[in-house]
Amino acid sequence: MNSATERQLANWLQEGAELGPQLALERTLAQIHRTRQRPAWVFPERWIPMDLTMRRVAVPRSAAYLVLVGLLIAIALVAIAVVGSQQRLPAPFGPAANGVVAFATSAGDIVVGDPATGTSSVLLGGADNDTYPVFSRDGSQIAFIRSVPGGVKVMRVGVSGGQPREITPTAVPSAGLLKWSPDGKRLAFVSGGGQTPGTANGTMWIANADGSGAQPFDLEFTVDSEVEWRPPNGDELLVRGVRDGKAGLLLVRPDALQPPRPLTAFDGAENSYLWLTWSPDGSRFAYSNAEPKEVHVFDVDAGSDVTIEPRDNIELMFPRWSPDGTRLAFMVWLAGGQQQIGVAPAGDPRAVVTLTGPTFPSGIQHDWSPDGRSILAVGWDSNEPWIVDPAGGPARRTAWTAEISDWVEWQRRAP
Amino acid sequence: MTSELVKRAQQGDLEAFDALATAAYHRLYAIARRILRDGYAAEDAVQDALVRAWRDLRSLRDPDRFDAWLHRLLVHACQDEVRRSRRRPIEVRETGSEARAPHDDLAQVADRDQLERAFLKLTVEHRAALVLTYYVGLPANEVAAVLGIKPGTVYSRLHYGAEAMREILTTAPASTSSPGTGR
Repeated sequence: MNSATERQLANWLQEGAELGPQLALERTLAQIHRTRQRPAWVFPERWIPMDLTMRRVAVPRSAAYLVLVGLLIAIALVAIAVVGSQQRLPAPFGPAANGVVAFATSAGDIVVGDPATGTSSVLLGGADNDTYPVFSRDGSQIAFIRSVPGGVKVMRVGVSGGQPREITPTAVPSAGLLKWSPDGKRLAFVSGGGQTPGTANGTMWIANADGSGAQPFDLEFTVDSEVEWRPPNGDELLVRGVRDGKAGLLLVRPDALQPPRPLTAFDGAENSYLWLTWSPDGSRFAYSNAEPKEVHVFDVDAGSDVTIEPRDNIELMFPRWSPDGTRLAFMVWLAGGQQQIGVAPAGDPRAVVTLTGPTFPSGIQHDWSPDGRSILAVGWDSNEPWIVDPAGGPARRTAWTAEISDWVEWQRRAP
Repeated sequence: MTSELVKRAQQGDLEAFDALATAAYHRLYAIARRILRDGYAAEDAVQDALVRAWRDLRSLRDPDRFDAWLHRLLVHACQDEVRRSRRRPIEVRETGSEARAPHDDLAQVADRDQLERAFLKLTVEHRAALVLTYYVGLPANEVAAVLGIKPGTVYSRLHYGAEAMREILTTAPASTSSPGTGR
């Protein structure tokens, strides 16, 4: 809590009644007594076997042989099917074909929706609270966060479903912003953290995607929520470090015994150096400051930092680099306080920003389609994803009606 | 102790759930009252959350997460309450009078009214993030678990909420009345 407004707000929230009316409590208890508890069998996870703790049932020997033969035939058929249907996978960066969109619902389920067909289906349901699904760069896997006692576990599941597998074998306090390495073998994330950016006590972790190990990185600074593998090969990670309450950007080589390479000084305020996004060739990245609201483009080799200065009394935040590397999409803060998607050429700091799609009242989550022809935009407090035309043409709503709790991401497929 | 009561309640022990509900009631009411800024709506939201909790308690796998789960149900109930209130006629009601001390001067009253008005312009999700953080004092990862969002989005919501309130407070003229969320 740093601003006067936040302090004023916190003090004001402490005011007021602490006790509810006794009559209302009694009315609530009476209502509870009139309500029937739902039996355990109506919850799917109770009747779909989800672990290996089921009791063994005695099976006659002849039946067991039949089952065994059946299993062998099934395995052979599956092997033939797998070999015969080896899918081509897209390169980790650059334009790709559009796949499905994954999101978590407010009920803690992972759902995939297809913008092309308008259909959606639950990939992971049940009582587990699963959030923040993220596709591997080749689009074949989804990593997500599952709430467990003592924290969370990072999990993964194939895009076609199946049994989820643990990436972090033990619970970590928290995990935000899961980031797949370009080769899909590792994930980076930040665990821990305080209540506001800039004061976080976060640690960068890197976990093997096959679940064989996860380790925290002991850096000489805390890592505040932002980590991004550098294209094209992921040898380095761009991180937002915090030291003595000041933020800075650094490149970390996770496999080398080299100290992190600072790109900026630790000179950023709590809302500086946020929302990092690499160009597909890894030569530049964009980031955003919140006060004032502006987007910068940083050229790594040249060490230059250029501020994009929009015209027309608008402000820019949340940059996202297009798959072909030519454009940046932003959340544009309009003069009236509303937000809208804006697109501008990536190389021109004075470029005209094309505003497109509907306006939103309270922030936008957005992601380029892998083919670069559309932008998926979801209001932070909306259940209605929009497919927006980067060129300013008409936008359309997707057909899904699920309650999206958080993040949406578009799957890459082979062109 | 709570965990034991939850396990008993999951077996259908209504007395155990009564104890859980009674213990949680005032805390939930205080949270809902702050999110919704309306005592009646808060009563309805808490009742809704507790009834849902009883009805669906057997879906809770980890009894130790009962409180977090209850908070989540409460936020959902608050969201439902706001949706319902949008369909009801909006009435003008007095705000914050219960908290005013005799020494409050006019400027402080105007400040509170402005805060109230600015807060009500936020979405219920933003309000919930602010209340859970600044009133309940939950860390970001717990707020994230309650709201079903990632910790980074909690940061964003806190930042956006404070930013939006700052903009409203710096542009809006002082007023002595404000629209309520219903009744």
